[in-house]
Amino acid sequence: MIKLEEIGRSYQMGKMQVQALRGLDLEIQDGEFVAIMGPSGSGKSTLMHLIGGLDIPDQGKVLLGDQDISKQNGNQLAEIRGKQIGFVFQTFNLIPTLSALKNVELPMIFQKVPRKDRHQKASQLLESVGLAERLNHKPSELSGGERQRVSIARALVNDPQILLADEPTGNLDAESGEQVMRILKQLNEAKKMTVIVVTHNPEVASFAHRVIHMKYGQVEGISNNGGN
Amino acid sequence: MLLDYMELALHNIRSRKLRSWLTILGIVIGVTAVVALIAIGQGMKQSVEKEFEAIGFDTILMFPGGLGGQGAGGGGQGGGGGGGGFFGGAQQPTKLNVSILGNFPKIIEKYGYTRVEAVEVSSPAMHGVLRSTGLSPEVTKDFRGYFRGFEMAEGREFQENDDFAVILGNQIATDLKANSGTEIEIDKKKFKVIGILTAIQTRGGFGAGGINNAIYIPIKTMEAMFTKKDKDATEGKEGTIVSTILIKAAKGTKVADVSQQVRQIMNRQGTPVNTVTAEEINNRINGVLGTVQTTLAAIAAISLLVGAIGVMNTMYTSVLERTREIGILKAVGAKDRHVLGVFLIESGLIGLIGGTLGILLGVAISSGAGGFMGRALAFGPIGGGSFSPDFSPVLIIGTLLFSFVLGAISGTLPARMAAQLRTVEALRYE
Ligand SMILES: Nc1ncnc2c1ncn2[C@@H]1O[C@H](COP(=O)(O)OP(=O)(O)O)[C@@H](O)[C@H]1O
Ligand SMILES: [Mg+2]
Repeated sequence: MIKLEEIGRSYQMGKMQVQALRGLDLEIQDGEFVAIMGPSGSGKSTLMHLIGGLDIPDQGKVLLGDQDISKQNGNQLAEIRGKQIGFVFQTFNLIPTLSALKNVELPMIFQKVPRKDRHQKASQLLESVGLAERLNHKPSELSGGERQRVSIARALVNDPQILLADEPTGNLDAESGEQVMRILKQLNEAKKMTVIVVTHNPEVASFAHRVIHMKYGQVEGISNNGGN
Repeated sequence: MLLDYMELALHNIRSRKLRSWLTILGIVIGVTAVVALIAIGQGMKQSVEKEFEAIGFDTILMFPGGLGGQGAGGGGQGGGGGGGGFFGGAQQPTKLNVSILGNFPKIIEKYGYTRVEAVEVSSPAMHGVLRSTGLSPEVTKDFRGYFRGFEMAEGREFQENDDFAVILGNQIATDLKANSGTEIEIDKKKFKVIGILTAIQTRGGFGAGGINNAIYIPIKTMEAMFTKKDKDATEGKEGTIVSTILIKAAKGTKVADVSQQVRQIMNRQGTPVNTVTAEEINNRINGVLGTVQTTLAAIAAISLLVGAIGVMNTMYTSVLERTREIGILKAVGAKDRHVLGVFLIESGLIGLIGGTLGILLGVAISSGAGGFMGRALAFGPIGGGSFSPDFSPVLIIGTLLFSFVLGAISGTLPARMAAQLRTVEALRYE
């Protein structure tokens, strides 16, 4: 279970303090598929960063299972990101100089997975997202949809329990977006992975069990999709 | 892990080709200078030592008078290296009581002497005033004993009863169109060419103009030719007219001590002399080489420093440009030390590539320079002149290691900056 208690996170912008999250509480069950919606600047990305251990809150607790990751240091967070979390970003965030295969292998390097296993796992995952023919392509040689599928494969290599996708379809056409969402849905159903997706698109949100609506750094409301 | 870092680093280096090459070039220049310097320096030291082995470290050269006062006891700057040669020198032949040296068998194993005079030489092919070297009987009898490294290209060495016989250096023989058996004229007297020396690739050497232009005749022939002049010039003094005396120190003595003692002996005769030992020349040349090397090493060090700053600059730029990539690495689980490692290896690799190319270039340059330097630096005693740079494995491996470490050190600050970037901030970086 993911549990956030009384989360506060603010940023210093010159002399101004921007309060990105203000006393946010949230619970997400293991194996749940959750969508987060809300206007720009409402703190969705900040929330994702805190859940994923990319950042720590100024106030409150972030509990992954029974560990509070809000008090951990940089290396411990890196360990958590490497082992328990998979990230998918709106802008893909692939390394431009590396092939699709190498991009997917990358997280395994830091987990000291042997070379051969790495290669095998990465190719297998790329195959499973329909990119068997694109292993040696650089990101610049791939379409947006293909890039996002590479980044999903990368997010999966260390078998995380939680997959965080911040506007994964934001830069994609409708068809590619749908394809990406079906992959996420399938991961949630087949692997019981907790999937959290930030989106502006109601169609995308319709893949989720629950939709969390955010406003001004707080949860404004939660709607149930009846578990479809 | 290391291998993976290398792979990542190589990808990065290759993706910024021009800048990488320019940075590498900075290192290449410094390393080339260092390698060439050390290789040439070592090679020169070795060749100097080899030359002195050839005349023997137990040889003392004695010159009448002083060598223009350029450091009594030391034998003067370079002892006539290069041009004139020890045995020729510009020194006027002078009458010395040479035979007194025979009274000191405890310190002197043997001695011989030479006398250099300007003479008119002519053959059907050529006519000119040249310097001819008269060799004392000790030397003619034991030609190779005094002049190791001399080889006869044709004909024979001197024999006891030779009179009006001449051995020619290779070049002068060619100029005179002389073969062994030919007759040439020296100061209007007919001489028989009994032998010709093998060509030696060098400058300097015995007599003026180097060994290849040497004209050797027995001393008694020379003395006979100059009797009248000698009488006028040295009326009343005892001794023999010489240009250079070659003394072999007795076994078990210290050459430097013997050198000093023979100087005193001759001074007591009222004929001041200067002496030079192979060791002194060797030390002096090493001293000069050392100074030259130190100066050049300082220049090389500066160029390495500039190269290192280049690496640092490139790595800082690279960290800035790749801020987002650093964020990605961290997002997928890289710890600070992993990021540090990636960048350190990358800058180390830049150093290593620069080092490798620098070694290749340094080897090429010093090999190329070897022949030239060998000729330029060849000096007197036997006219030596074989010189090749010395590339020890220690030098090569040491340089490779050094250039990697240099690169890594230059990249330390940028790499630390990269490692300490905050993940979210780095990911937001445009
Ligand atoms: N690193 C940052 N520095 C300064 N302000 C930030 C930073 N990250 C987010 N913010 C601010 O915090 C607020 C919430 O941002 P964010 O979580 O990205 O919102 P969302 O993803 O919902 O659009 C915004 O006003 C944004 O400008
Ligand atoms: Mg956002």
